[in-house]
Amino acid sequence: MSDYSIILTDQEIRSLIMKNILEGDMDSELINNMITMESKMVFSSPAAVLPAIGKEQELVSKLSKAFTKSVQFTWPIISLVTALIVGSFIAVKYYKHENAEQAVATATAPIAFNEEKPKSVTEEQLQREIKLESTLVIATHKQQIPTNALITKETESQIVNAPNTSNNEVKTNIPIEAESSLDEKQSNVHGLVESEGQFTIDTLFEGINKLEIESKYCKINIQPNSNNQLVLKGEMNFTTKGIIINQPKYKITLERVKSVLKVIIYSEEKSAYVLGGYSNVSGFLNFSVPPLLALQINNCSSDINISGVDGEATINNTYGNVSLTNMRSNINATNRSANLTLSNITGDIVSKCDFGNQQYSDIKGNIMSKGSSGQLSFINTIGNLDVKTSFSNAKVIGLKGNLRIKSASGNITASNIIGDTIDLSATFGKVEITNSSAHFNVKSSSGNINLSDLKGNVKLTSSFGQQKIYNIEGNIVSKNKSGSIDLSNIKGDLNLSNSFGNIKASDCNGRMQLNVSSGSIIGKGITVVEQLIANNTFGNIKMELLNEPSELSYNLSSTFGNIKVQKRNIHTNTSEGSFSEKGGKVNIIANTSSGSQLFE
Amino acid sequence: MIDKNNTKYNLKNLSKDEFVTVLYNTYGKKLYAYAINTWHVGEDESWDLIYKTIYKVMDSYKNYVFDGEDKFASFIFKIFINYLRNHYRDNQKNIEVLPDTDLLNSNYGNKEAQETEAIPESQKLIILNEELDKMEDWHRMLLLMRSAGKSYAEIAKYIDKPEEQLKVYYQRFKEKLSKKLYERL
Repeated sequence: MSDYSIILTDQEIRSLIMKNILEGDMDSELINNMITMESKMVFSSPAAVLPAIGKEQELVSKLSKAFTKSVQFTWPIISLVTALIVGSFIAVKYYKHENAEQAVATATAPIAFNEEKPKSVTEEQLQREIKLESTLVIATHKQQIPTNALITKETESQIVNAPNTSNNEVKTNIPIEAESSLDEKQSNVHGLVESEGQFTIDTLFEGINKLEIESKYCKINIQPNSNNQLVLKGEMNFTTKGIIINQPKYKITLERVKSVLKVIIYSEEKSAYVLGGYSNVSGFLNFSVPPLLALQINNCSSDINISGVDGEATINNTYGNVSLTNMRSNINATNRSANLTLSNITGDIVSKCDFGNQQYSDIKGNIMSKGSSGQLSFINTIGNLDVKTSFSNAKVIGLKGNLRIKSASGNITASNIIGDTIDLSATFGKVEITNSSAHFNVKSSSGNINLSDLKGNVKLTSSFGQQKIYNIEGNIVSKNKSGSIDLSNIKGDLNLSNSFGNIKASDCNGRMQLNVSSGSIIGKGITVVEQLIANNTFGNIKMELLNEPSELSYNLSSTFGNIKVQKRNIHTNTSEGSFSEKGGKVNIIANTSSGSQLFE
Repeated sequence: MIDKNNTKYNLKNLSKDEFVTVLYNTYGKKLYAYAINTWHVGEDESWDLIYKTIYKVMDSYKNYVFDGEDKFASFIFKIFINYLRNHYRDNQKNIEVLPDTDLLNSNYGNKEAQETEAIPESQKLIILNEELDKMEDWHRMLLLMRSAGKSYAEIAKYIDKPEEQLKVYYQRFKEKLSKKLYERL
C-alpha cells in the first residue's frame, strides 16, 4: 500500500461525498451522479431502522387524508361518500413475517410500472409491510371515556375497581398473590390493576421505594409529599372527530412487586385512521411520592417534570421536555428530541440529549453530558464538567471544578471557571474563555481561539484559526498552522510557533521563543526576561523592547535581509548580515532567512 | 431525464391510497432509516422529511412519466435530498462540518488524529470533486459505494465487473485518487 493512503481514508471519501450531497450544486452533473448513486445504495438495502408500526399507519392515514381533504373541501358530500367507499377498502393490519412475500406482492401490485415489479421491492427482505385492510369503525363525536381503577388504602388486602361509568370494558386482575415476601407482608396493598381504554385513575400506595414508569402521551409530574405515600392521579383522553378506523385502546397497568411499583401505559399497536376529522391523544400522570423514592422512567411523546425527589433517578424521554429541579440524588437523564433542563441538583449527573437544548443551573456534582444538536448551557456548577457534543454550542458560566469539552462543530464559551484543568477542543468551532483560573489546554482545528483574563498556564493548538490572547498570568505555549497569533498584556513565558501567519505581541513580560515560517513577528512593549529567541524563515522581525539597553546582548543573523538595532545604532544592509554583541544578561537571538530585523 | 412521451412507466392509474402505501413500503421506510443512520436526523424530523417527501411525490408524480423504476427512485430520492438540505439549512445554519458524527466522533480521544489535522476538509473536497469528475462512471461508483461500506458482492450488481476484481480496482483507484490529492496538497 502506498503512503498516499495516509491522506485519504474510506471515511474521508464517504464524508466528503455526504458533504457534496448536502451542499453541492444540484445542477452539477457530478452531484447529480452522486445523488443517483446514493439513491441506488439507499434503495437497494433493507431499512435498518423502522419506526413504530403505529406511526407508519398514521403516516399513510395522514397522507391519504391530506389528499382526500382538498377534494372534500370543494365537494363535501362527494368527498364523504368517497371517503366511505375508500375507507371500506382501507384499514391497517399488521404484517406477519411469514406472509412477507404475499404482502409485498399485494402492496406493490398497483405500482407495477406497467411492466414488472420493481426490482428493489422483490429483492428486499422486508420485516413487515403495511397492507390495505377493510375494517371500518365510525365514531360520531368526541370520545372521552372516564373509566376507572380506583385503589385506596381502605381496600387493604385487595384492589377494587370503582364503578364503571362507561361502556368501555375495564379489565382488572386483583390481587395477584405473588411470591410471599417481607415487603408484601409489610404492605397492605399489592397486586396488579389493569385498566383498558381511556381512563382516569386515582390511587394510593404505601411502602413504595421505587417507581418505574413506562408511558406514552402522558405528561408526567412528580412531587414529593411528607406522608410517605405514593398517590397517583391520572387521566388519558382520546378525542376524535370524523370517521375513525381502528380506534386505539390505551391501557394502564399498575403492578407492584415488593416495594417497586410499575406503572405502564401502552396501546395496542393499531393506530387510528381518521377520515374527515382529527384525533388527539392527551393525558397526565400526577404523582405525589415519598421524597426518597427512586425513579426509573421511560416516556414518549410528552413532558416529564420532577421536583423535590431525592432518590436516584433514571429518566428517558423521547419526544418531550424533561425538567428536573430541586433534587438531591444522582441522575441519569436522556432525552431524544426535546429540551433537557436540570436546576438545583445535588448529585452526579449523566445526561444525553440528541436534538434539544440542555440547560443546567446550580448543580453540585459532576456532570457528564453528551449532545448532538442543540444549545448546551451550564450555569453555576460545583463539580467536574465533561461535555461531548457534535453540533451544539456549549456555554459554561461559573464552574468550580475541572472542565472538559469536546465539540465537533459547535462553539465553546467558558467564563468564571476555577479549577485545576480546563481542556477544550473544538474541531470547527470557536473557543472563548474569559476570567478563569486553571491550567488551560485548548485545541481548535478551524476555529478562532479567544482567551482573556486568565490565570494559569496555557497550551493552545490550532490549525486554521486566529488566536487572540489578552491579560494572561501564566506561561503560554501555542502552535498554529495558518492564522495569526495576537497577544497582549501577558505575564509569563511565551513559546509560540506559527507556520503561515503573524505573531503580534504587546505588553509582554517573560522569556520568549517565537517561531514563524512565513509571516511577521511584531513586538511592542516587550520586556524580555533572560532570553528572546525569534526565528522567521520568510518574514520580518520587529521588536520594541522595554529592557534597559545595557542589559541586552545580541546575536542576530539574516541570510537575505537588513538588521537594525536602533539603540546600538547598528544597521547592516548586506545579505548574510549578522550582528553580535555581548552586553547584559538578557540575550536577544534572532534569525531570518529572508526578512529584515528591527530592534528598537 | 423524464420523457413525457414515453408511457412505458405510467403511474397515473394508481389510487392514492394504494400509491401512498406502496411508496412508503418501497421507499419511505428506507429513507427513514437513511435519515436516522446516515444523517443522524432525529426520529421526529426524519418522520417529517418522509411525510413531506411522499406528499410531494404524490402531489407531483402524475405530471411525469418515468423511464423505469430507477428514474422514479431517483426522482423520489432527489425530493428527499432537497428536504434534507432545507432541514439543515433551517436548523443548522452554521454547519461547517459533515453530518456524519460517527466519523467525527471516531477521532474523539484520538490525540494523534487531532494533532495531525492539517488539511482543511473544504480543500480536500474541492480537489476530490475535481478528480472524481474526471473519472469514469463505474470508477466513481466503485469508490463511492465501497466508501459507504457496501460489499463487493453488492457493488458487483451495479458494475459489470467480476466481484473478485473489484477489490483490486478499488485499491487502485483509491491509491490513484490519494496520489492526486497528495500531489495537489
